[in-house]
Amino acid sequence: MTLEKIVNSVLDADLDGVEGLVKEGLEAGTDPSVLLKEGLIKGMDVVGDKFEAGDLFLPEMLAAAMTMKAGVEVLKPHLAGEDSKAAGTAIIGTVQGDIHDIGKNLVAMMLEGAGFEVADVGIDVLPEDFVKAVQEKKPQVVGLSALLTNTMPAVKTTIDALKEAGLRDQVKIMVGGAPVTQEFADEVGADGYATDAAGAVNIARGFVQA
Amino acid sequence: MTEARTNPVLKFLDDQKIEQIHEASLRILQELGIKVEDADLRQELCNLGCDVDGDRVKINPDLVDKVIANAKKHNRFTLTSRTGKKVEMNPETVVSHSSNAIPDIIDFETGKCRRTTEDDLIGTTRLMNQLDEMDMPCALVYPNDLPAQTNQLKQAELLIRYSSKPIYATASEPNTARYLVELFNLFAGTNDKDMIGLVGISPESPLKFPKKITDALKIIVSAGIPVAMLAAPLGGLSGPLSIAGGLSQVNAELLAVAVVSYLFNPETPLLYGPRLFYANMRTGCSILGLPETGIASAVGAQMAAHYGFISDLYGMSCTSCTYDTQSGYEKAINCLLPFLSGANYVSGFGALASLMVASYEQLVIDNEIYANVKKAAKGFAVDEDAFGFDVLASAIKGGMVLAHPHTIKYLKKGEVFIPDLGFDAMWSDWVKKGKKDIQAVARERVVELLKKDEQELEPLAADMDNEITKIMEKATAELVK
Repeated sequence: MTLEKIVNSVLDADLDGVEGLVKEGLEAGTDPSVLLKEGLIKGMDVVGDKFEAGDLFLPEMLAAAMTMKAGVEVLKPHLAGEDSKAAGTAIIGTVQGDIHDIGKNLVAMMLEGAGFEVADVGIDVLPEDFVKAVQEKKPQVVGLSALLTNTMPAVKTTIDALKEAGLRDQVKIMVGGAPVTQEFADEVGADGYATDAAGAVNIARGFVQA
Repeated sequence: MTEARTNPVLKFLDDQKIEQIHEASLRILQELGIKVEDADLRQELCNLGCDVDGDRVKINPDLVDKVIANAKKHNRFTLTSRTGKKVEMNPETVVSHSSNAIPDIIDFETGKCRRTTEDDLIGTTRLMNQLDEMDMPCALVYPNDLPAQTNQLKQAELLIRYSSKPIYATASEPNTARYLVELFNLFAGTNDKDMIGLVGISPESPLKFPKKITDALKIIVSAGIPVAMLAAPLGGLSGPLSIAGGLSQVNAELLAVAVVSYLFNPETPLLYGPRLFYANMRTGCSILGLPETGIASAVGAQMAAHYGFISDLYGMSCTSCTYDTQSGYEKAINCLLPFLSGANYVSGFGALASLMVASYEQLVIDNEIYANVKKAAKGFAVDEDAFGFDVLASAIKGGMVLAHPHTIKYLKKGEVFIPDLGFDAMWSDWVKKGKKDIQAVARERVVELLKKDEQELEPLAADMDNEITKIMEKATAELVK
């Protein structure tokens, strides 16, 4: 019963209720791994299917992801081994000269919702700061965002800086932002490009599964 | 050409609701305030009577009232191009401008979408010289082949060189602003102190004034160059999804820019540019063709009139990526709504795909859409002469209505719209002319107009050419590393 309620709490984005339900499950002696897989992840899978089918919109999807995340936080201390591992690690930021953060934040949230551990390095990020972040966090994926046409060259500068630092081959780089195109991504030597946040998550998933 | 605007025929919201939006904005400014990055500016605003709470500046209603009252005194000005063309800007006129800094273009020769270049900027600017409904060009495209550090400046330089009309420049950081002032100053004072153009400046939403934006604003406003304040919250992503919420937010952001501008130079004319827009809520990507863009612009026109500002609105925006029915209806709806509501300054010429793709043909088509909308909003005379009693009296006696002096008089007055580009005949004529759609007709017109501009555009005077070159060389040496 509790499992079904957890699934529904994710579907309904019941942020207030999910923690109590997960605790209730733990107190009843349900295996934390089952609560995760049969409860929270199952709920999110249904949400994902509905989103893919166009029955749910982005705000509903994000609210469900935040609910799942809240539930996972309660479970974390009880999970062991594989179950506690993130789906992947990523750093994301808006390139130098660009102070826009909506798209970048959206991708970060969606990645977190998909189980990634995400380090958001912010806006107007210098190439050398991306290099530092990669050295420190050792992510699998680097997301570079540019909303302005005049800040797009900074995407290339950042990728070049990662090359010079000898880090380029250690990460997969995805780029995005309104004026960014697949041609641009190819030109600057990125590994992936998406037109929207959901597409970015799919690309990141592909990177870590490859 | 500048035209007197007819009184607004559409009141999207009644006066009480406009006042409610104003009150909601005052609450935002007073309780939430604006994040101002520059500590010195925060102090200056504090000296002006604002409350500073950390990096947020909370603005009291009395100061807002004072700023609005002052702005009303500076809402009439004239811009004069380097060739002497004038554009009158005040709350009673309506003028047009193009979209700005679009990164891609549909190649005129191949029809394929590609990155924009300096040549595209020159070509589209020259085409806009020849569009009779286009009053002021922005740099329609972003020249991707030029250095980023001086790109906005270069856009302004090319506009000055190739536009026969006053120009609309942009500045998103102080270095550009500094050199823009130098470029503008070359022309200021040569014609009763008219400026050659204005500059658009945008803060960030929600409620954020980055230092480089306020630094740029300070330079432009201090120089007395008219500023189009452009605030662009994205409903549901950087502001409330509810239209009323977005409107109160965008209004608060614009009033805050007006307060900061007042501090720098209270005499500089300010344009009220509410650019509230929405996203595809399945992807989060912003799309400009939704009817809400037009609705927000219509209310924006009302808010501007309420305060006495000149409004600067989206206008002919669309999501469609091609010359189809969708781009037509999106552009028409989004232009007509603000037009009917008393817009003063309307954008959108030349853009497709939510301002991401430019097109030569679309510039020409938009010229026609704008002309249609302008006519639709123009109204008509209702008086004894217009009733045409004599025409009827003559007709019932067998007189010819078509050749009646009254008919000729009203035809010459433009009572009935005569399309310049749009098809206006019968099916058989269309077949005879090769079944051309609007894009095909527009293509022919582009070629014709560009050829005409080659013959007509006055070259820049040699001394002015030298001065501009000097400024650009100095800017390049300093900024392009």
